[in-house]
Formats: sequence, structure tokens, C-alpha cells
Amino acid sequence: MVSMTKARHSLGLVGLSPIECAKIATFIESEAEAAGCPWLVLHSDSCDALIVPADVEFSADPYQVLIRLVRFGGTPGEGLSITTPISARELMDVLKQAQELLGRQQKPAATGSLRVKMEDWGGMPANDRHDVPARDIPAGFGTTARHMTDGSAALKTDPYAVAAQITHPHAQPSAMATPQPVQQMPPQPAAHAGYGEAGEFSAAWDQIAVALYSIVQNSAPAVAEIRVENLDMIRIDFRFRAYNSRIPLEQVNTHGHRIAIRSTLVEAYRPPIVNLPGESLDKLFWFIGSQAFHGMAAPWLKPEERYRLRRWPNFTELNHAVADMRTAAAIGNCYLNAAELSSAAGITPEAATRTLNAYSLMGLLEIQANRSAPPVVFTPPPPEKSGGLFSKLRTKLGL
Amino acid sequence: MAEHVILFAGPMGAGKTTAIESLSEIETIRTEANNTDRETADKDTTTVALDYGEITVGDEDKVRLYGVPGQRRFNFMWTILKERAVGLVLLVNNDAADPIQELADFLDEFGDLHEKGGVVVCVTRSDVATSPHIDQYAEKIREVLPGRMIPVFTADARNTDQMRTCLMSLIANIEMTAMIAASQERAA
Ligand SMILES: Nc1nc2c(ncn2[C@@H]2O[C@H](COP(=O)(O)OP(=O)(O)OP(=O)(O)O)[C@@H](O)[C@H]2O)c(=O)[nH]1
Ligand SMILES: [Mg+2]
Repeated sequence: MVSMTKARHSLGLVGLSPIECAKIATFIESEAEAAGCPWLVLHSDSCDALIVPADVEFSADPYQVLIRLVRFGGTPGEGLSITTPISARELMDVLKQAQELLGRQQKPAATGSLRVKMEDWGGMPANDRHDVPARDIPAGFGTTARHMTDGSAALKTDPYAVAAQITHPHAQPSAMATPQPVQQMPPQPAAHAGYGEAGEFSAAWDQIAVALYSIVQNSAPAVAEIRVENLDMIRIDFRFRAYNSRIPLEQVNTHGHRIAIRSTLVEAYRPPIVNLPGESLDKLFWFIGSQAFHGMAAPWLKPEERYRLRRWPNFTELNHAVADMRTAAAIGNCYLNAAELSSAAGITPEAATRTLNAYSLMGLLEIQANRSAPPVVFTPPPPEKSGGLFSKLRTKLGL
Repeated sequence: MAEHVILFAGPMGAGKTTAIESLSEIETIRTEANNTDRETADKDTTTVALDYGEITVGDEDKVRLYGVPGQRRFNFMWTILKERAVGLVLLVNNDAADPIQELADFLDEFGDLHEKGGVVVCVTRSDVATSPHIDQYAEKIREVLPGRMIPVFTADARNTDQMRTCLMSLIANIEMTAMIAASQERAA
């Protein structure tokens, strides 16, 4: 059931019915690799290509290829489209065209195969949308069966190598309880010359971070497993914002091991896949967000934007340093970009960027709506001889 | 010697006495009496006057920790202490009958301490009652004090490390807001 493919592009399904999603996912699983167009299917509007119903108003970003799904009775407009009932052939044809279009586009340097954008939803970070109960998924029995598709990425030496796994439409989420062993992938050439060992594995965490961000952004009820080779598995239930892991996060060496993530949409009423209350997802996101992207900005953050905390991180449950409190105090009180945060909190630009990456993955940031607002200029007062109470207490308490 | 008065407030049984004990360097002075209000908090004793503890920093600074009694009939003490305080640790036990309402009530009473310095909210006993989630506290704070950034943590009042995180965050926030205000003044 699991097929390993070298997916180069991600395909987002937006506004489709569960049956349409399941059909597309199944066709891609069975046909796409043979047809030479492997895709990673995600439920996100931030993918390279998107399939969106023709009657839904939607504007894609310039880098995205938009494919319209024309339902019965509709008339196809300009651009790429497929019609219902969806046939495997038509889907493969249109995906091939999409692939060609994407191939002609220039890939921005230093980004992987996934790009995730963050929309300014009235000042609310997209990442926080999970707080809103999914409108279209009524809880309780006797409701329409929700088919499951999932987007998964198995990550190894090649940052583009992803395994597309599709759960059968009628599979139960309890399948998550019996994970399949990590599949060996055929040797693949390194995607970038000079990509060192450490870089390779960090890139895997980058993609894990992007996948997690995209799932959270999606706000549909989902569960996921991150498998760390030779160690154990981190099991996540997004509905409860909780995870279980038998290995302490500190022991998950970010530079070693193979990592794979597999996610599945589940009906809201299904029992949790973690032992509740479990650990707070913030703890995991804080860890992954801080480690990923080599200290560069996460792909969904925009350099021209300023961010501010919606609420403080719950430091008592996070592995934190005292400096993190200063950083939170700075970005908690005004909108800042990474450079401004670095000077306000007295930390390196890289530390500021890592902090922003983590906070945004945790859904703690809001974006400044007024982009032309003048920045807060920090002119730290001349340092007192002995520093403020904070630094004195810090020394005193040996923190 | 500079004094820094930090208040600990919150409903009965929130953990004020315990939190001060966890943080204080000196033997704390307790004024416990038998609890006759078992309905609000099911525990043997309740504080009838002030809790007091302190942390001395070098020979220049003293952090004075005052716990105000949780029982409403001791309200008059709050006002006196409020004037001297620079910061507030607001403890709310998650297993209270309506913790979010407690939060709102205490912010109403003590929220102006945010203007003078800062406030931090510590949600205690979240091991006893797992809901509400701290997002709901943050939401309520935004509603009651819009535009203010008040740190919210889950914390066990018995845990010194966690209480230190709360205290240090409070002080970091107080110093940062002062620095921003000073920068803006100089810029104007
Ligand atoms: N399980 C658990 N118990 C806690 C936690 N925090 C505090 N406690 C306990 O809760 C009880 C109440 O704490 P107190 O410190 O007496 O509360 P208080 O705020 O001083 O109460 P009053 O003086 O009556 O207003 C004590 O037994 C503490 O040990 C926590 O996070 N979890
Ligand atoms: Mg007490």
C-alpha cells in the first residue's frame, strides 16, 4: 500500500468533497509514479499546484499552478481543469501539464519542494485556525463518513524525496496503532552538491516542520506520526494539541537518524491516538521550530513582515533559557521583525530567527496589519552599573 | 536599598502561600487559620493575614513577596499593598468552580498594576483539572485588558523552578515595557 516516490511537487486539495479527495489521492497512489509525475498530496492551499472547484472563488499565488475541478454541468474556463467524474487519465494528463509549468518556473534557491504561505486572516495567524472547530466536520456518529487521505513525507538524503502514502478511503484511523516499519528507499543522489551529512538530516527536519505547519494551518482534525529511525515514534493528535513520545525530545538528535512523517485526517469523534492528556504540542513545536531551517527564516515567514505575540509561550512546560523570557517580553509588547527582535532582546539574529520560526509554528504570532507602520526604535538606556533587577536575580539564582 | 514589592493574589486555594514558600529565601511568615469555608476550597487552613517572603539580591535590592488573603472578607488589605507593589503574580487554580471568571474578577481588582509595572498569570492545579486551557485565559485577558501583554503560564506552586520562571518573566516584562516606554519618550 505504501509507495515510495520521488515527489518533486506538492498538490493541495482545496474545497473538495471527501470523496473527490479520496479519489484523487487513490489515483495518484496507483498511477502517478508510473506516469512519471509523483506528487505529494496535502490538504493545504500552500502547495505548488492546487485543485480547487471551478465555482469557488480563489486566487492562487504567482508560483502556484491552479487546476479547476469542473463539476457536473459546469463549463471549463481558461487554464487547467479536470471534470467530474474524475478519471485517472485526465488527472494524470493535467498533472503532467502542471509539472511542466512548474518545471519552467525558477525555483527560489534554498527552499525545498514545499512552500507554505501564510495569509493575513484579519491579523490572525493562519496557524491559529485550528482553534476554530472545523465547520464542515460534524462530530458524532451517523454523520457522513469522512474519507481519509493524507500527506506524508519520508525524508532522507534527498530533500525532494518524499513518500506519498495514501490511506485507503475506508481504512480506520486505528491503523495508526500498527505502524509499518520505516521503508528503505533506493539510493538517490544528493540534491545539492556539497550537502554535508548534517545538512541532509537537518533538511529532513525542515520538511517535518513544513508538513506540521501545513497540517495545523489546515485546521482539519488530523493525527500524525513522526518516526525517528532506531529510536521511536512521536505520535501526535492535533485535535487535542497533544503528543506522546517515549523518547525525551532532547534525545532526538536533530542531525542523525532518518525521519518520516505520516499524517491522516480523522473524523472528529474518533478516539484520541495519544494517551491524554499527553504532552503539549507546543513543546514539540518549540523544539522542532527552533531546530529547523538552519537558523534561516521558515519559508512561510516573510522578511518584510513584523510579528507580535498573541500570548506568551508557556515556558514552564518548555525547555527554555532565561534569555527566552527577555525575547518574549520584547516581541510580546511590539511588532518586530527578526533583526529588530535581535537588537531589542540582545540576542543574535540567528537566535531571533529561530525563535520566530518556533513561535509561528506554535501559532503564537500575529502579523502587523499595517505594513507601513514605522518600526519601534529601541534605544536601550545606558546600561546601569549593575544591570536591572532581572540580570541581578538571574545571577543570584544561578539561572 | 531598593525594594521591589511583588504581590501574590488569587482565589482561595490558588497556591499563594505555597508559591511564596517556594520562592522565599527566608522562613515565610504564615498566618493560617482553620478553614471554615470548605465549599470554596477543600483544605485544612486558609491565610487570614498576609503571607510574606523575600529574596535579597546583593546588598542593594530586596524583593518582597506579599500574599494577599484569598478570602474576600479581607479585601481591605489589598488596597494598602497595591500602592507599594510593582508587580503582581495572579494565581488561579484551574480546579476552581469558574476559574475564568475568577481571573476576570481579580484582573478587575488588580489590573491597574499592569500600568505601574506588570502582571503575570499562573494557572495552578492544572494537573488536578486539565481544562480550561491556557488559551482561554489568554483570551479572557485580551477581552478584559485589550492591548496589554500579560504572560500566562501553567505552574505548580510547589515547584520552585516553575515559580522562578513566572517571577523572572514578570520582571523581564516589567523591564521591557519600561524600556519601550523610555525609547518612545526619547524618540518623541
Ligand atoms: N496538585 C497540585 N496542588 C497544588 C498546586 N499548586 C498548589 N497546590 C496545592 O494547593 C493547596 C492550596 O495552596 P495554598 O498555598 O494554601 O493556597 P492559598 O492561595 O494560599 O489559599 P488561601 O490562603 O486560602 O487563599 C496546597 O495544598 C498546595 O500544595 C498544583 O499545581 N498542583
Ligand atoms: Mg494562603
